[in-house]
Amino acid sequence: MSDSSAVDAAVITRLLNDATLAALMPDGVWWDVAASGKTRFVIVSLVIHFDEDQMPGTTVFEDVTYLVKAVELSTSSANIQAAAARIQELLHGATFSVTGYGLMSSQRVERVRFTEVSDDDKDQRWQHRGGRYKVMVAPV
Amino acid sequence: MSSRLVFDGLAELREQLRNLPSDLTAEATHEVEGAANGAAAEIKRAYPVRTGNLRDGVIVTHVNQGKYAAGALVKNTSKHAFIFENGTQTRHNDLGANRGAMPPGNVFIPAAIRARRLMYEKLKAIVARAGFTVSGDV
Repeated sequence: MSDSSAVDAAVITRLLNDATLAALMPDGVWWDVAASGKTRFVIVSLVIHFDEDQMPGTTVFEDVTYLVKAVELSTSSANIQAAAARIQELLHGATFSVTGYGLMSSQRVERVRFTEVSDDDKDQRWQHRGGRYKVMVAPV
Repeated sequence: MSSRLVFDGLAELREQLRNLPSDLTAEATHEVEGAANGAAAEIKRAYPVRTGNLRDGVIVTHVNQGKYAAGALVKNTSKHAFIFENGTQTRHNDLGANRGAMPPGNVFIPAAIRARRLMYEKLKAIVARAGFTVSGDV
């Protein structure tokens, strides 16, 4: 029996196990929201999930879209640019294993980039950069 | 000896083919507008309501794309719609108290994706009803 959470885990593991991304975003990879006090991290969030059924009750494949973004408190964009590029390398057109599934495709469908002015220090910036990634898997 | 072959109804067929794009456009416009209105309603229902600005910022613009195209635009004009959707690190209440990071809201984009998928199915059906073979998926 395939467990859709395994797809989430595979995406997070793919990002967590990469030394380059860890060097750029040392505060880790978080689901939805990071712990307080963290200033350089990656967020993964479920945007939408579809089960594609061939017959009722028989899922032929699952189509999942995630928001994956690097988040950094910094006025410089050099580090976050590199982190977003690394996320793209790790997920766009990538091949990785998913427990209980065969990976069909993984690709970015939309780019995300925005900046927030920190309320605590108006000279500081929270930068967000990444994209929405569509991962399609078939249960095995 | 001469022979003559007559196709009855050829003029009618030619006329139908000439009108096909505009007929399909009319049907497609109906579906596209329905999809946009449906998505907007779903988004409004799903937004949390405090001041109501987020919900009230959702608007649908029916775009005139010309004689052979259909279009509609769903937009949220509220200032904080984008950060609500994608998550924020800086969130303070009206008194200035720090409320911490807010996770991505994931309301607008999923509704738009759902509506678009349904709309594509309906557009495929329109073209299929007109006698075309539609293959592939989106």
